[in-house]
Amino acid sequence: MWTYTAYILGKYCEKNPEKYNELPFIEFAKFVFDVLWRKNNLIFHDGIKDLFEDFKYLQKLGIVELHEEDEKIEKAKVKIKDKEKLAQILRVVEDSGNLTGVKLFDVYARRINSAIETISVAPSS
Amino acid sequence: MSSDLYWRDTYSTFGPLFYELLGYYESNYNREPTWIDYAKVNASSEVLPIYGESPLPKYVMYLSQLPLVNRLTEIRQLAYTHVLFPGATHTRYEHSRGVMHRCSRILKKLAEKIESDCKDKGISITDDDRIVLEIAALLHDLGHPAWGHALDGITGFVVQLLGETLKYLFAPRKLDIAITLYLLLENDQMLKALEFCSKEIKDAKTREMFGKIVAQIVMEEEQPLFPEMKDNETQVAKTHLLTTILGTYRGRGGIDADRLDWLVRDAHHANLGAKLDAATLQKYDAYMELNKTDNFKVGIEDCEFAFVDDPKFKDTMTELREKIYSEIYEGIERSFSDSLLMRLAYSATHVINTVGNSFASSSITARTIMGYLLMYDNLMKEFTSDILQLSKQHGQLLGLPDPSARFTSKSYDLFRLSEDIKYIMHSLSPKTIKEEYLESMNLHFNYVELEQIGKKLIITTAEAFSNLIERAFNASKATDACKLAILFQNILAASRINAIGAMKVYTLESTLQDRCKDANICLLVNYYFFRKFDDCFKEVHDLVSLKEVLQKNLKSTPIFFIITNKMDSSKTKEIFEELCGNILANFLAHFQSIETIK
Repeated sequence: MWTYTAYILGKYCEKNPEKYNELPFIEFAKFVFDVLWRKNNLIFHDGIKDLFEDFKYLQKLGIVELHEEDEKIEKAKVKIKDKEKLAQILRVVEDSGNLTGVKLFDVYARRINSAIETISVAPSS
Repeated sequence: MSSDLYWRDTYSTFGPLFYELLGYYESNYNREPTWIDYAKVNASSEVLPIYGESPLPKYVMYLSQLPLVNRLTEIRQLAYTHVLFPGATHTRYEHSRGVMHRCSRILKKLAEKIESDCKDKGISITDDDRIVLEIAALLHDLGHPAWGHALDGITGFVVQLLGETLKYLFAPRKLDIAITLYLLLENDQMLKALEFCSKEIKDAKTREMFGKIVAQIVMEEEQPLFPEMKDNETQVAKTHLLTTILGTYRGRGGIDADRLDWLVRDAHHANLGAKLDAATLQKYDAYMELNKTDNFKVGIEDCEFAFVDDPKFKDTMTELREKIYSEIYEGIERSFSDSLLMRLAYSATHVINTVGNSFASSSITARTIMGYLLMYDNLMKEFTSDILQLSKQHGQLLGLPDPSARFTSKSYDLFRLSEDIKYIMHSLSPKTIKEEYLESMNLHFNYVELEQIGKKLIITTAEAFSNLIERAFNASKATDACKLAILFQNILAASRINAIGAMKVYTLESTLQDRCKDANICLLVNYYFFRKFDDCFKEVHDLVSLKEVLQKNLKSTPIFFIITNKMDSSKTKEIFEELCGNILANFLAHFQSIETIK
């Protein structure tokens, strides 16, 4: 669900704004798999490749820029290209439970926000 | 009426049916299996269609005698498909045993490869693996409700009632998987039964986590669901291997014995061959022979993920899969019957939940809903009728607001239409479906005159839907990325798990009825449209590609069915125009919502 990838990304960068300019993909993947999934029981992706596919889609939409080194996704870096678009997607996701009546969407947003609360983002190397 | 009297009336009217359903679940499916002495169960065998003699190891012989597993013999695999393909009456049990049979054979085939390729990693196939895989295969459809996949469109509504299980459900999209997990984790009969079966397991850690390992495999989630599995890398790798034999992971694939079995079994029972030309039939016959004898190459990635290493076999399988979907599963006939069944089950579940909320705990209500959803095919129909009839007669006691109350009440009228399902499904052929053009909106729609029952069926296709999305797109000032997010999140993802709620079907129906007071109007939504659309959404990145995807993949897929009494062309157009106007207004509201959010 690429909308949730965008939501997690947006919240992650909000927590540490310097990540808007450069976010190592692997650092974000670690948050998705080690924090969000392991500690907050929420996952939308079947592994790192699946997560990367969502980033490729976000790149197509003009939201992020992906810089791949040697075509290795572990070395890829993400730059937020359009903060406003990303912020709009965050608002869509946040409001979707209310607009659609699917309360599960609220559960997902709560779990993501609670995972974000627990992290202190390390600066990019 | 005072609230006390109101409560007492609700209790005395709906209580007996509510507790009958609860009793059905508790006495049949939730009592511990004390009446079978595991030690005295013997291994046996049974003869399966297509594969022949198939062993029944002791643990499978035991499990298959439990009411919870035995109910699969009373659930048809393909819902109402038999109305068009009378041979398609095979059961979930037959399929589950078929999958188990295939898993055992494939595991044996892989064992030799693993022995030679993965020795240095310390991975080998043990008897424990075979037992875990066979049990996971037998139980993979344990929670499948009656009526096939028709109820997947209410998954989002039901999973919210599953209590603790919800914590382990990651973005659930299929109702059967959510219920299966609930049964594996919270059902007393299954928990006790798996405890007995785990005695067959030699490895202490595997034995200790036995039920959870089975659940992990059945869920087909690559990431461990349970904290105790997360740091056990060997266990995770083994679970990945077994899961990719039984099923697949998103974006990765797998051998998928589940699919290998339903492809041959459903095609066999429905006699798909009769729908094919000679050359295609010959091609598929050759494929079926390779499939059912496991005559294809398999591979293992990193000694962890099994896959079919045979491009030609995979390509033919993909073609055949698409053929089965278009000819059997999701043709307009099944789309109609499943849309009808989804609405009936949604309304009945909604009533049970509303009743439960007024005098029972959430856990009791969840178990009562399980009692309903786990009914045999024929009993599900009877209970649905009873629930809907009662709610039509005493709807005021439910305290539902309009339009929800009207929608539920009308569902009973629709139930009576299910008696005519054979006639309606047989009427949905290219010869009888006619096309009409609505000048005012520049849109086409289809309709069928159902003369025998004095009704008319109006069909909204993806073409009209696509046009309405395009208009809403153009009218909104938001960016394309934002509009796509709204389309994906609020319309597709939401409708995929709660089609009736997300598409506001009750409001749409109510508005149509108010506009055309002299007609009796019922509205159905086709969940399969949203599933198909969601599956190809990654190809959509702007309005142009959106239109292409809708045209290429979904052009003839119905979205809404309007059932009404016989009426002339101008009245029909009026109803269709009203529906389109309201759908457009809903889309616009979604698109404009972003402009008002601060």
